[in-house]
Amino acid sequence: MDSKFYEALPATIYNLGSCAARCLDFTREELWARMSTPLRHKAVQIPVFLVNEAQMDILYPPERRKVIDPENAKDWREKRRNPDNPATWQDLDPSSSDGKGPSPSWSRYKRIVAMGLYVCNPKAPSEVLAKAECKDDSPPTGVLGFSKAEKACKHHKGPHIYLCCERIVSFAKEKGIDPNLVLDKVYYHELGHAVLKGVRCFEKPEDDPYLETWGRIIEESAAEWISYVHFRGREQLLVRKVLMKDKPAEYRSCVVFHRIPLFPLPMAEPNNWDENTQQGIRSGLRSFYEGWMDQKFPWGTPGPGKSFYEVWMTQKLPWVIPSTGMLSLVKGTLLEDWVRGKLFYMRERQEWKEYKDLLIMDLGRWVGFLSLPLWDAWVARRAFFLFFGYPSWGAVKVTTNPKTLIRHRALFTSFMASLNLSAWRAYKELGAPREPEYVIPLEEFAAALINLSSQAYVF
Amino acid sequence: MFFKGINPSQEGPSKTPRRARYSDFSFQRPKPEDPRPTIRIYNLGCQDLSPFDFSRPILWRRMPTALRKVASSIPVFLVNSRQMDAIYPPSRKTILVDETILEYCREVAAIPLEVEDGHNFPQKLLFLSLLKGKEFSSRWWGETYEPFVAMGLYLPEPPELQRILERSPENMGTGKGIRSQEEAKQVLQNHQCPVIFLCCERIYKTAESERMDPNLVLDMVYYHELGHALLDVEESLWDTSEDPYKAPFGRIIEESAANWIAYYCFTGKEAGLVQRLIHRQPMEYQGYAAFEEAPVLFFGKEQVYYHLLRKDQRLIFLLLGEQEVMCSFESIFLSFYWRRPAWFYQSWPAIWHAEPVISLHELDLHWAGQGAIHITVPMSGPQPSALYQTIQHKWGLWSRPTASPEERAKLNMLWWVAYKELGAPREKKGYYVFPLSFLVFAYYLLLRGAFS
Repeated sequence: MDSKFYEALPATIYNLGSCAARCLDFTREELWARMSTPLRHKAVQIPVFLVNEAQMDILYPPERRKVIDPENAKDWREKRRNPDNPATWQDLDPSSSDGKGPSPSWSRYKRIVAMGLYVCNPKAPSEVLAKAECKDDSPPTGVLGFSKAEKACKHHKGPHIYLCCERIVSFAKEKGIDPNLVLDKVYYHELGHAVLKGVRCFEKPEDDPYLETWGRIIEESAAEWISYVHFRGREQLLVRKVLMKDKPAEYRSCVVFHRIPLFPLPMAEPNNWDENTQQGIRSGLRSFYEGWMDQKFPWGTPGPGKSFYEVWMTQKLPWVIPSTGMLSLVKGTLLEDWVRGKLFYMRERQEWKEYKDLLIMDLGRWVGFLSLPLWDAWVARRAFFLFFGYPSWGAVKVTTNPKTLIRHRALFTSFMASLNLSAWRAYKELGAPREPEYVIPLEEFAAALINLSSQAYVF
Repeated sequence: MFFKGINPSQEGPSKTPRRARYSDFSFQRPKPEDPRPTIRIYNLGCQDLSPFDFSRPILWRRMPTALRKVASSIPVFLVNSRQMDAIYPPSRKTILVDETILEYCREVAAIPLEVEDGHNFPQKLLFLSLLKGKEFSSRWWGETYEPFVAMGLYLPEPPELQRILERSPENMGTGKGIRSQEEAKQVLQNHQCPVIFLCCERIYKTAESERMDPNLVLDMVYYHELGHALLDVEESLWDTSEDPYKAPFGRIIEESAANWIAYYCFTGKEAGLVQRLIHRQPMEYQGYAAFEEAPVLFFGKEQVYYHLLRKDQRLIFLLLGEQEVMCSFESIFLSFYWRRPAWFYQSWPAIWHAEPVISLHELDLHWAGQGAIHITVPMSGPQPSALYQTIQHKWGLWSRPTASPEERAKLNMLWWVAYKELGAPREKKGYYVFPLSFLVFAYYLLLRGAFS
């Protein structure tokens, strides 16, 4: 039997002229075993081209050569709170004003950021092929050689992934870790971009929200989060402490991507908000995100003394969140009206109705609580269930067992991220409209990503 | 098996009650001490069997419990490509989802959720009726798909022996554990049982062109055919007028389920290679990953009341004709279905995780801003039925799903088999399993397979 059969990899990988490709191994089982089904499904569809540094510099689109310096992000939160002269996106990302040129700190971050590239509508300029090196070299096992790469690069329509092996290997050498781990991380990140792409590419390039600072923050942190969660244990720690530490702020913000919610889009009928409403909603969203991690539940709500984030993470009660306590986060802002009207009204009414039925049907059991006024009794019932579990669904129980708490934590971690990811993807599928009813919640979400991650001590 | 309370002679279109061939649909990963299935393999016309090894323990070690029983009871016959072409039913050598349909799917999937309400309604309704099998043109699959599809065949009854024998070559290959043509003749003549045919020549060619291990391709094809066997019912619907496979929706669900079974047997890099093979198959086969994501029977009758009065009924009469609307009770509800399922399924967030975590409550919160009314459980009115509640729990519509992916896939398969047991009725007859659920589910599989 001919051993050439065994060379096939799930993805089609071409060596377009990278000498360092021979240091990398694509046949490793763990590269493919770590991937989830949808990610592998993308990997099967999209061809990968291994390129050298010069080729990557040609391929990398000029409008994407932008990064946010973590130094700018540090005090941006404080500056933005200044009511007289609030900081803008330009202060965070100085190059965003002219739009064309690269960021001032691009040259510093180029070798970290431009290790991989996902392009939706690839154009293969001839100078990329001219810069190829090591053409006659035998490529690593499973990787197709230059002649096939040249043909595929010219004729293959649809998205491409480019990986710069030279940068991957040199970065790994500098940090003293396995280059294959860096390769996996970069590859998963690019596949994450592929998963986040909607049904079709943007026809007009200016429609792409990636060109806005907030769009870039959300897109990059989402893709980074997707790649990050595919690692476990020691590898995950290495990825976070070594690979993500030196990255620009938008990549680092993935550490809070699963912790804060993106609001539903659009928040109101488009083109209905006047200037005052926009400002009101903005400040409401700001105080919501500020309080989300810090502010405590008041007494009489399900988690007295805990922050919203803690309650969300530790209790398996999705419907606890839209309780009266949450309103205090947005009190006095226009968001309060929005929250009352759009989100929570139905749920409150539903619970109240259920409780009323319960009292009528089940008098004997609740006779003690009937001495209280009805509304207080409802609060008391909630406090009671907090400790003794919920009657209607067996799966829902509050526990003090730390192991179970950890499991719940993992559950809701991925859950909030999945909501954010699907909302972002759906927004792009809509064609990324720029009405304030869409953009304001996205901008504030991106700002919260930057603000909260710049204070995270996880690296 | 599944509908004991229903008298099929009154309710269903079929006079004779059917039963599922296999009752065990458990897809637990096998334990090392589980018994080895006895796989009977006969060579009917393959000349070169040297690339293949049927005695590898991994061939049966990968099989989940459900497949082992099937594998023990169904003989496998190795044939050459001429024999395969002779026994392959001509009606099945078609692809139903072609580029035009795909382009249409792409357009439908790209329609923004908000504008779905008005002018796209007739289009989508038309599309659903296309999936149901009306006005649908079948196409010959040609050279693109034949190497990837006609590698194996499951037949509920043995074919005519003469057609195979007259195409058998002089000298035939042998291998360890492979029985001869003489024994094969006896089995095919004496037993009226289901059979599986594998075309080793095509498997080898495909493996060569894809640079894969031929044994891996062989295993994938074999598991796929075992999947078809598992999903079949006694007194099969195969190629009768009732066979749902002839309609696009039936083909999509059947092939996606069989591919889910095949894919489920592999892990790691092998699973990636199997995904790559599946990627070369026609669109009907691509819904394998989505098969475990969403329940077939999500749209219970509870929701119908809620939306019935909200939509304009006249368009349905215009599109389907009065007679059909009158005889098909369920198409009256299309006004509800045409929008919600597609919307719901498109927004299903399970795609992000190997282990999906879904809460429709959160989706409600998310959609509330888009002007949606409560879509999960009605706020008022009748309480959801026990079946509906079970589905909610299994798929984790309120919190973490209580069922594992294999359990969810199993439930979808059970419903599909139950539907076949009833004779695959095309119109609703008063029980829960009604075709529109499958129609919408097939639409979901198609969209997810094509655009993810």
